[in-house]
Amino acid sequence: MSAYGPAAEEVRTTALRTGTRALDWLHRNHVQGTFADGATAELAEPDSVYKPLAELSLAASLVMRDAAFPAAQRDTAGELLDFAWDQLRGGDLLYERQLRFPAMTDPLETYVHFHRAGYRHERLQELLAHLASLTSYREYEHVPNRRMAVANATRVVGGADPTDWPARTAATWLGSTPEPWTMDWMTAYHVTHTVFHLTDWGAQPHALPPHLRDYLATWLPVWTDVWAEIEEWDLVAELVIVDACMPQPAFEPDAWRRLAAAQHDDGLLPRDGRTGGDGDGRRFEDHYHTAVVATVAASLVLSRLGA
Amino acid sequence: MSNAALGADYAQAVERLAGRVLGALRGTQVPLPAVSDADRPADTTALAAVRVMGPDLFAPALFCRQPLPQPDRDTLDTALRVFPPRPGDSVEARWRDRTTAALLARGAAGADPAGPYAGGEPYADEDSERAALAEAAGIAGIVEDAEDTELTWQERSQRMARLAPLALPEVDGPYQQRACLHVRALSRGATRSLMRRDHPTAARLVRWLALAQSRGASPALDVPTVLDHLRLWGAPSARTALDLAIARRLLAATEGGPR
Amino acid sequence: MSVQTTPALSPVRAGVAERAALTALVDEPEAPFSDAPVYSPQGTGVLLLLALLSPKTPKESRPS
Repeated sequence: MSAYGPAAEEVRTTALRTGTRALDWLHRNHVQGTFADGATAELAEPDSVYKPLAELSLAASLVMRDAAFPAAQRDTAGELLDFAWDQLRGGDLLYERQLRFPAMTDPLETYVHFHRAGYRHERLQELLAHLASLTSYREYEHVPNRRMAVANATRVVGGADPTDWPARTAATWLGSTPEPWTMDWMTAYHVTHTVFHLTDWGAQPHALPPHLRDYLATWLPVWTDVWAEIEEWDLVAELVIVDACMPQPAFEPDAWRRLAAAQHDDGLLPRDGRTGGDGDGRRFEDHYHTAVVATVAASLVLSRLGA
Repeated sequence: MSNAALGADYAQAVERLAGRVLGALRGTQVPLPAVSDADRPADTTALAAVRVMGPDLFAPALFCRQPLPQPDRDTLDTALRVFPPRPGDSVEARWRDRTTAALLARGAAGADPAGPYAGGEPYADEDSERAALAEAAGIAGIVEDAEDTELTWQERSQRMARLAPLALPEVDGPYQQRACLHVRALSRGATRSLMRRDHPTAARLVRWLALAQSRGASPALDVPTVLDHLRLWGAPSARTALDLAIARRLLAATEGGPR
Repeated sequence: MSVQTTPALSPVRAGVAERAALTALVDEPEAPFSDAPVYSPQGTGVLLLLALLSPKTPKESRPS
């Protein structure tokens, strides 16, 4: 038993079971996220296959990085990364897209997950290093937490990172610790992503400044409770990740209990309580994101709780 | 009359009475006007409203340091006999009754700085009032809440929302102290209710936060801002408006302004 | 008013239905259904507004 006590033991067991089933579901269904033949750098519909591939790679790369799942799940993650890398033609698609659209940041933000897991594309890496040196590339007008995504990816890929992180953080909604009751659905995702990028997905919990730790420690339980009640499972799982990114996670068992109860027998975790029925023809498209988030949440929680 | 119709009738009577208490609280009239339907002592609906309001009936008197007008004392006395406290009542109902009884027992002398739980206050002269008080205090006094220390922030907030009529100036007891002690839990509960857009519950919890702040605790929310938000977005019920007005007065007292 | 001296005026105790109606109001629970924020497509109205406020091509200035 860990130093966290019996509640954390329950979280460990539930996270392992729920996360394993989510990851296995992703693995069984991942071929649904395959490019049509001849996908080019333009990607007329980037959200259809490209974005899911990037998010699949994120989850798999964190399973590899955290090494907290058993070996079988790490093998599964490895297979998913191989599949996605293959879909991206060994990184060529990202390279071509970055050449064609120098101002776009998604090639970097996709490549970073493969880089984290040891994959390399040298020519792309050269482009990214050059872009990272440009003031322009850092200052394109994204919303503040998107800028942090670019800065974190640059940091992980190993480019020079002149980012003023405190200033970047202060520019986000979370950075000014606003009235917690004004939180809305979209802002909640902005907050979770601010924390993900600031802490590099939980790798640097102490990158969270103390005033944000206090703020999150006070209000995360409320936001989690509010959205768990109305069964917004995708958001609840994201908030669970935020907890796991904190220097002292609360490891509340209740959110995990509810996520586990919402998970279907086949491992599908519906994004919310209104969808995910058996007659749902778009099961992968609609729910892959929640499987990704649940996998990441489980990986981080298991990692933070210790083997 | 059907049960639903009776409930609706009572709820309307509570709204009317809450509106009159709110008027007395906002007014500057001294002596305070009576707010209850004293001319209709046998009207069960009006008496029910008085029982629902409970300690809230004393709000104008406590803020103005005035005695509760005698007609209101009489109505409350009748209401306690028509709707006497019972052993099966909820913990929250018993604490509200206990506070009502204690406030009545302060007599016509107005605020008692020792608080309603200090022993030995003289009962009022009237025999009937004495009987009603003894009954209320006797039943409501048997309050077992040893489990209170184990409550989650959600459970504590739910309980305190039902006990909001105890958040009054010059009234002290275990729940007033707990509001200060558990101000973070109540801040969370208020935030949760605001996000659920359950404005009546949010107003009740903010009333406790205002009390806690008036007694030196530091809520995790900016209470005046939340009060403003609830005023503009909240449901326009008189009961909720009264909760907000009492919260405002409690805060004003903290800032040294007029009460 | 005294119970002993004016028994005729002393009202009777409320019945079961009256008690139940009172208890419901005293022990009023929180709202049973949450109206917490969810994704709303109307939120994209903000983006439309931004587009409407985006600058037009400047016109040639004329000396007045």
